[in-house]
Amino acid sequence: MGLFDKLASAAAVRRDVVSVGGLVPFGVTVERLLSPTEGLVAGRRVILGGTNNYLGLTFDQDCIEAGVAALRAEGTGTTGSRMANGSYAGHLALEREIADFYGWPHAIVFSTGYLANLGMIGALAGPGDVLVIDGDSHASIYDGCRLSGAEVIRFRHNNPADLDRRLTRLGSQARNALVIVEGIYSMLGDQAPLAEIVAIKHRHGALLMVDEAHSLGVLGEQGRGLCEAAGVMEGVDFVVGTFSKSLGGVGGFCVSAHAELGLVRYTSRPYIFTASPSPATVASTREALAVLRRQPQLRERLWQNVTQLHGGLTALGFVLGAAPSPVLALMRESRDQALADWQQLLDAGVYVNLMVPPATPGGISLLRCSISAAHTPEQIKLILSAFAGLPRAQLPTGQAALV
Amino acid sequence: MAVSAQRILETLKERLTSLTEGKDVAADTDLVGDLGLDSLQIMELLMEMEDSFDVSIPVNVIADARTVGDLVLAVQKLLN
Repeated sequence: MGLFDKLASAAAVRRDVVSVGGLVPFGVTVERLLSPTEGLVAGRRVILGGTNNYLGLTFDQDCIEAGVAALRAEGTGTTGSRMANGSYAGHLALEREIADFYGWPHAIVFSTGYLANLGMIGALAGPGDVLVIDGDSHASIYDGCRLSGAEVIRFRHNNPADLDRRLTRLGSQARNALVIVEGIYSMLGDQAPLAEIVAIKHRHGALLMVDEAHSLGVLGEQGRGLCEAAGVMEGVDFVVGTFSKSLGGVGGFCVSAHAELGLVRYTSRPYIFTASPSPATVASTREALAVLRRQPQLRERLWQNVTQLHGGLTALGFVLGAAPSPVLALMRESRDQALADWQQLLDAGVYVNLMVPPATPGGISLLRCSISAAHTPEQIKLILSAFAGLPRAQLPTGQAALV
Repeated sequence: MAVSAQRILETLKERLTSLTEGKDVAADTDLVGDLGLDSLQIMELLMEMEDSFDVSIPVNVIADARTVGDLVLAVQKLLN
């Protein structure tokens, strides 16, 4: 197969998913942003219902001012990596602040969340080591596993008994295995059974990494994520996450109580060989973290919105992918149905994410909403009335078991 | 644990026949080329094999397996 032939098959897939409105749902152009929750898509004003902007901080005045000040004081970019060009004071301050937020001594900041997983997994594991990951893990976890060259074993999604079986099969190797799970899974919005996973990890003497990309600022009394909500912070070895969702910036991080985290800087290629986060990004992220800490009411607003939307959709008779969560996924009976629904919602003024195989688990097609603290109760009502016009799904046998 | 290649092949054929609704399966059958399995179906197939033989098949091992025979060999190697 020629190099370009692979791209030709992507073109065929792309042709296949054009909606009746002539739009390709993947990579839609938002022509103009009007607020954290509104934008212009295909020339019309729509409510943004699929942005992962959980705390709505992208237009927070303090975050904007912090970014502007850093832009003026330190310039537009760092023009290189921290290893070569050096760290700016802001990079180090952000690392101190994210470590302090978790109450752990060590933190490392990466340029994106994707790179945080690549960088951490690739640095911790190598040929001869074993990584045991949830089968529904994000692509960045799978890619980090590939980069490491370690042996990669998947366990059935959110199935502690299967994890236990696989660690048992590893025998003495389990003591050197790294188990990787996510706080909230990005497609269905379901949470890892973390307390059970921590107990199993302890029993086998393995290490545990939790990706809190979708749960930072969302779960836990202080907003630290599922590790906090499940009361198992001390049983987790590494937390990785992103600044791009609840903190409205871009960048990734890892925090840990293990002092060895500091050595990752010298071995992690995704840390060493990429440009460091820009001053404005670092400054707005630091301010967003401060806002997350001083305004717990944002998390309360978010959960009020979750309750309103989840309750409303359930009352309308829709089958939802998981328990109430800022990620709400509606399963549709086919890809074509999901595509038609997606366009219908857009026509009704609501933008959500369309998710189809192979990005989804189990070959299902989903309409995925992510809810923001910045959504008003009126906007949630508008989202609900747009959904009210969709047919209720008759799911093929077997898929209901995923709920 | 002595499990013969024949038993692994039989188990795999049985799963594949139901997965592909009755397509012919032999050792040299290509999982993607001949059976048109997508990556999710292959993952599910492997998890069933893992349960049947109480073995974990590393993801990297699967990447090298193109045919039914490759998979049988990989599983057998893991078991012995």
